[in-house]
Amino acid sequence: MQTFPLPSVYEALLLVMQNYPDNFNEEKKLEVEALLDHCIRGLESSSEKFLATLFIKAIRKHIGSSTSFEHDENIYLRKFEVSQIELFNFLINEFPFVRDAQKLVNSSIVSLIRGHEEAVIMDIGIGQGVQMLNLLKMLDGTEGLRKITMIGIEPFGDALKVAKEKFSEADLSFKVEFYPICEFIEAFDFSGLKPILSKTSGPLIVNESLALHHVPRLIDRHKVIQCVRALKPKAFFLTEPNTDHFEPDFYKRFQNCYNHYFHIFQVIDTIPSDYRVKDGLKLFFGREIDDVIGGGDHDRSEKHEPAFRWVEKLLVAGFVMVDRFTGLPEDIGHGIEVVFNPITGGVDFKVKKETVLSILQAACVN
Amino acid sequence: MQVFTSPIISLDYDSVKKVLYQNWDGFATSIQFREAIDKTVDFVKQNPVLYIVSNTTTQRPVGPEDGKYAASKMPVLFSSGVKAMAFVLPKNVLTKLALGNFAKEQGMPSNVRYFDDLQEAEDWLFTF
Repeated sequence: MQTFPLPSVYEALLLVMQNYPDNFNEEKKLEVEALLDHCIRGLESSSEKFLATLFIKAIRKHIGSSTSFEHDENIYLRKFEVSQIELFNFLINEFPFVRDAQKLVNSSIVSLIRGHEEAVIMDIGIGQGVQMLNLLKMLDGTEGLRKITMIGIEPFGDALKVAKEKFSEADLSFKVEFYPICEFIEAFDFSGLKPILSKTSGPLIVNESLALHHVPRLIDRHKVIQCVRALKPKAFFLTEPNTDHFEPDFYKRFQNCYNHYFHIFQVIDTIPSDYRVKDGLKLFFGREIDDVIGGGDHDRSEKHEPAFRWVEKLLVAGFVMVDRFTGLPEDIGHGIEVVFNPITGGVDFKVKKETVLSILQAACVN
Repeated sequence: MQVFTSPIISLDYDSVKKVLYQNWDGFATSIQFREAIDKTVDFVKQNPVLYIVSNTTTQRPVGPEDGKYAASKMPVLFSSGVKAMAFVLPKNVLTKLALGNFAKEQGMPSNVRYFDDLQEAEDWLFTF
């Protein structure tokens, strides 16, 4: 059987995306359909086709789809869905970017708290408290540690309830006082922390993991960081995807987005898990792609920024970047390299040449 | 001899060599495309066509359903006497993908091949 060389899916996707936002006439819509048809064939065995299908799904939301085409990618992709709770557990426990980044941050926080009788930890976007519970377990048995005051800021009340339950059930060698604050961080009045902080002693450590990029406006990101700075924490840890989805130019944003998730998908392919979970995870990231590509500028929530921009904001607020990371892993496998970045002063999780995730640590000089 | 023409195709027949040329051009609506396919099939049924050259160099993408429609007509062409069919590949990236989808659809038998230029296609055809 004779075949002929086909162009890469990315090459085709680049052409399709050039028509955004209002150049999708009937001919261009047909191009989208042709590409989707190509991607759906053999999607299970090709990460690139899976990724492209998610991009097409996002773009079709914008342009509408041809009614004559029998493939509805939503129906087709639905078979890859995995329950949220299963995915969540997988992300936390198995997905190397989340698991190892949180482990590194937690180890670094432990080393800063060691030697103190009390400490205050403020977690922005605490969610169900998984990372913080792991941190408390790491601190368990720390000599001389008597009390941890945990402040958890989180817009979803149900998640806070779960976190509260987890902390209260934890059997630890020290006392934990938990202050759940149900609020979007950009709307939170930091002066409300005064009564809590006035009752505590020991270092204040602030952490945010994959939360600040959800603050929609730049001005609010600056404001939040400045408010954190005003608390004079001993350290402020940020864990953020290193990509520019704040970019207003659609075509550039698409390229950034493709590059970012392409490398994430490469890692997912290496995870020793069954295809059901791997495809479910890819679909999970598809929702982020939907947001970055299909969402309007004002309603997008996955507005990631590269690490150097977070550093700029930290420096403007009066922080300095510090390299006090403890427990830098030597080899976490999956083609991920964890390296110190002398430019940002943080730690990068790299796949080939692409930095997918960055961890930053900022401190106050006075 | 031109046997059919529309804004998206010119069907030309070489009665000496018994070759039917499909010269596609530009974007076709579903109706235009299927009309061109039907005209091809009708002509092949009524004339001693031994070879077909489908020149898609400047063709724009065809929708998946129309691709399937064209693939479904291939057996009729061969059962009507066509010995071999050569495609000249499109320049457009997305048309190439669509043609790839079409090729998978119809299974790419050994008497159907794809070429970068017309001369190569004709050289191969006349080996049958």
